[in-house]
Amino acid sequence: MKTLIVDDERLARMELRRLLQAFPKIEIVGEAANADEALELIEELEPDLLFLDIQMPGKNGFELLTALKGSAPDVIFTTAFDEYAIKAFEFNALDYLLKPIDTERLKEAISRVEDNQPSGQEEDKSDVIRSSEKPLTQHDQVFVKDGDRCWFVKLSKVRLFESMGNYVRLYFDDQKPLVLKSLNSLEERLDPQTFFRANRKHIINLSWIEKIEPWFSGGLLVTLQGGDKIEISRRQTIRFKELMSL
Amino acid sequence: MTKTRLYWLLQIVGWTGAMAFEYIPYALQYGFTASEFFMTVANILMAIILTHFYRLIVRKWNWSNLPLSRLMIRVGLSVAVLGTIMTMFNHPIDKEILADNLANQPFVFWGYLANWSKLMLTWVLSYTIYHYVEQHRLSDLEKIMYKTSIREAEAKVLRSQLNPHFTFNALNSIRALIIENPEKAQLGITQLSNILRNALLVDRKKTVDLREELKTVEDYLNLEKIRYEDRLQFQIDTDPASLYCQVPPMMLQTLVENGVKHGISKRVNGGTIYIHSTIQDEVLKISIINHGVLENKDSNGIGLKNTAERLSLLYGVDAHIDIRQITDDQVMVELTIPLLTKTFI
Repeated sequence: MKTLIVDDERLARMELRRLLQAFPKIEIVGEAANADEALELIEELEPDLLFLDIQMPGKNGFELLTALKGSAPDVIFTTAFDEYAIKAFEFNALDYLLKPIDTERLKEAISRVEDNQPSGQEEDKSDVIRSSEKPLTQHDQVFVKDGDRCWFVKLSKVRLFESMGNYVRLYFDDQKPLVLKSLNSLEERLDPQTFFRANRKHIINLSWIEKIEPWFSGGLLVTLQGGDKIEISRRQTIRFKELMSL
Repeated sequence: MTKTRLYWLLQIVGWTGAMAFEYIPYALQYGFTASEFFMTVANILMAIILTHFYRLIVRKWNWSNLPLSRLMIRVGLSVAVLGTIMTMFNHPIDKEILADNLANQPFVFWGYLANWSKLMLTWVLSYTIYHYVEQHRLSDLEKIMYKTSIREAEAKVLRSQLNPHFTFNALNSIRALIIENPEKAQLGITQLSNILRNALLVDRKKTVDLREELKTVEDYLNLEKIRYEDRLQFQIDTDPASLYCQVPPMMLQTLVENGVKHGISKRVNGGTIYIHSTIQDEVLKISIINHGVLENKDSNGIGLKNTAERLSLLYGVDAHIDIRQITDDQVMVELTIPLLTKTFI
């Protein structure tokens, strides 16, 4: 597992490196002392796992994740004491470690990440395309932050993106966070095989479609699992049919 | 029942009772007359109004705060004035309407005056004594609350001192040093112990020598330097005359910690912190200058607010703390403390 350590303190990075020697599966590919360094290294090295300090000068850990362009790697947060930041993650699968790090807790966190990683389907890593230029597919996960709440969400779980002015609302599980992005810029980054621009306001996840019915003036009305009904505009209907037909 | 309601109830019941006490035997002996009855009612109202007026004066000039002797003089004069007014009102009218044998006795004017003064004295004394006692009970209470708030401010300092973020990060760095540089790790543990000990002792002493406080600050900065390495530089420059000045423990330390936390730790390349002390015109001035940008948000306020609160509790208005941006990337906090001439509470 390619691992990147992000912490502003050299000694903290060194200590973590020492602790990780006990885990042969963990291959430390790099260290970063701040978010900007980390962003470069993530693009360049495409790590599977990030050990990420929350409090850093410049961008903090959350801001780093928000600034990621491509797919987000798995993340284990490291923090000395930060109830507030940890609370943000109470309800999702990510893990955090308290410094000084307890070896047993580290072991648990790593095995949890291993369970979470897609096994076997290693993509062609020799691909020359950089991660930020590859479209985001079903298998990728993204980091979403809305106010104080954060999610790591697999794109396969997102059924719908809805444009709300300067923001886009994501629909997954029973959550609907808002993120500051335009639907157009999002469309450019999403894999067109899975994510389809249904109309001016919506992008739908094709694998969530339950029912398709004809609609007014040559358009279509699709019903997604969960009951959301989205209209496909006439212009997009032609593309939709092309995409769906064999 | 609120105090105001109790007051009015006592006024009405008291004066009605006192007047009835005189009127009923009179009516039983000489028979009921309308003019006498109305006169009694008028007396009740008048007594209430006059005594209420007295109450307003007491409150306006805050008589309950006066020393006892001066209060006594005022009470005596008030009773005389109130009694005279009531007598001047009653005496001429009673002469007209009262049974001849009562109104025209010799010395009746003096009898009236004595009688009314006695009533007024009872009222004024009850009222004044109640307030005198109440006032002193309250000021005792205030003193206790004042002490409590000092304790609280100190407890807040203690809590912020045992800043868990700092403590655990320091422990983490020291753990890393155990392998890399055992001697430095040993030193680190000593420094951390000193800081924790000082933090725990903060409520035992009112003040410490500036020299002692600076030692703590140095330990703290050295410890942070283990974490931040080259990103943190510091320079302490003190006027030798100021070293034995008395300062509240952990105050300077908290401010330096703020400078590191809000200033230097936020800069990717770190920065320098300067600590400088001088004595000017019997006033100790300590300034802390650090790289950083002053945030106008509340986030940098908690430590400063605690400090300002502590200063004003200990020294009153003579001491203050100022914070300002002095260059594009430097913030200065200046602490002004009067040299210890007044005693602490």
